[in-house]
Amino acid sequence: MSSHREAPAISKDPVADSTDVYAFVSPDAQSTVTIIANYVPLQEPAGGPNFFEFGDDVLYEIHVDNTGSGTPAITYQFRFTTTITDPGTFLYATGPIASLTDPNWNRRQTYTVTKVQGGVSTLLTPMGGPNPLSCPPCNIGPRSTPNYAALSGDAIYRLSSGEMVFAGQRAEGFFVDLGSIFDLGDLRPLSPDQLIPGLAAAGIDTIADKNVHSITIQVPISSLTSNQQTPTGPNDPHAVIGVYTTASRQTVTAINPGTGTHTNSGPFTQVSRLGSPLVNEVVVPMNLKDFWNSQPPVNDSQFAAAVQHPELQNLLPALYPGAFPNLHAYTKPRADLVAIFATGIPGSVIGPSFGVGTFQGGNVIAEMLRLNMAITPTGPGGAGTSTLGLLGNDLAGFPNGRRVTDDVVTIELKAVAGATIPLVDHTFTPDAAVTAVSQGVTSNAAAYQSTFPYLADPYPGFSNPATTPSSNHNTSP
Amino acid sequence: MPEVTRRQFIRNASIGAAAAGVLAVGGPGILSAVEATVGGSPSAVPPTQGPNAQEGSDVFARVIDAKAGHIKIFVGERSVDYTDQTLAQTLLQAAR
Repeated sequence: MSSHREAPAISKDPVADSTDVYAFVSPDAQSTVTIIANYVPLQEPAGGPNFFEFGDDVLYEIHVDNTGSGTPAITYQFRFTTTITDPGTFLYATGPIASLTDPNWNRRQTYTVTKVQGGVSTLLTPMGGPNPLSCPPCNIGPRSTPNYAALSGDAIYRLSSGEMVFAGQRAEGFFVDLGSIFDLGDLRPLSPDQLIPGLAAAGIDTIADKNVHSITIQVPISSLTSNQQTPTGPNDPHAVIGVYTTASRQTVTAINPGTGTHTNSGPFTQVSRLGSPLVNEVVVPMNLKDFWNSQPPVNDSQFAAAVQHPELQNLLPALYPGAFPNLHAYTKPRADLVAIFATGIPGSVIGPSFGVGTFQGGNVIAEMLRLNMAITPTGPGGAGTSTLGLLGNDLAGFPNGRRVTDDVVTIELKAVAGATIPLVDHTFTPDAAVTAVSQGVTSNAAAYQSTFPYLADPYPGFSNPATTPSSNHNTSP
Repeated sequence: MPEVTRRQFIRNASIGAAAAGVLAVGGPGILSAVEATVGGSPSAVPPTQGPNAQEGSDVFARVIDAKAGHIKIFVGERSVDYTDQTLAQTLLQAAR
């Protein structure tokens, strides 16, 4: 998956598991950038009675590097607090939840947002709303959360400092055919050519109809640049930012005998990290995955070999015999992948091909999701939009940031298969099979909405389309 | 708290470099009591943030390097690097 359960240790700690990061110029508010940080993967919507939530004991952070140094210049910190209205019941809701202050909502979460910049921490406050801010409840069903759209809408806050923020359960926007990819890379559309051949078929979005927990923040572009100005164009050296997210836990956790309670102590230590999708998942080897999650991007030169010579590059010719002869013969370090994941694609590379811009913030090897904020966004389905992003000649998509609808699995499969080598090495000709490489899954339109917070309302437990026949979606007598 | 004999101290010191990772749990009173018992000349890096530990706080100590007396103490949302060879040995001895 993008980064769901991607490392042994974090797969046992879903509350702190960074699953996806999206960063894009907001299509409906183009003077802003929206960053979505998702956690708590693979939520079965009906998973009560203890429904999903953020961790009170986890420090969630969104980091922005606006100088290319490999270190964050701006960090947004999110801390959550759970309160229980009636501890004497097992129920999540003791009646219909009609508002974010409804006493029928028995187990609720609030949160604070702190901005750290220049060594100064500032607690951000909402304009006219409550502080701390409220998450919406999980989407239980028509009796517990009868008007979910109103609840989630009320949980969108404008902050006095100019940001807009939301934190809570959302529909999973990532789409991937897990069943095929992890069955020895048997991409269903290409199955007849696989080492152990099967029948060709369309891909299956394994995580459709699952939910996730999102922290979404929309920030004025002028607040993200190092000169506090809106970039003048794609070639403005201030136009590129690097984004990554982390989750941290306190160093010591003790389980108190006889009480079942936990005590946490010590400074926060990073346990999860995510910038570009799939890097720790399929580039970093098993024995380094937990270590990678503990490291800051500025230390990423230690992982450069795994990017320069990715294991998947050798697997593709083995799994699809005869389909990738040029890739199989290519032994040079993959400078294209280093640029995509670790430095950003320099203007000298992207310029001749596309005429504009750079996705490079600096020369430091630091894996992040890089976004040129001066490239005009293209909306889903709009003119010039491609779910293949840069590979589809759409500069507004991955790896220039990442939109919810970008097919990052196919993009990265194609890139590793050699599609992006010619950007840096004109002597290489991609194999014909590269054009056919695809997971065969299209974006899940039901999981996306065109306005903030962009990921759609979560699937309800009562009528999750994956598990409940439509005839059972009886929402009224 | 059992007294640390010279023989025990020498033996522990010889294996101390490999004996990291012992956690001791208790209030600050325990640490100060140990310190008072065994003496030594501790040195601590002052905390850079957060309030001082109070009576009743959860305090965790990890013996990083017994031979060097390097102890890391976790309290609240901070850690304190503390150096006291005798205390490090005493903690290891107490944990046996």
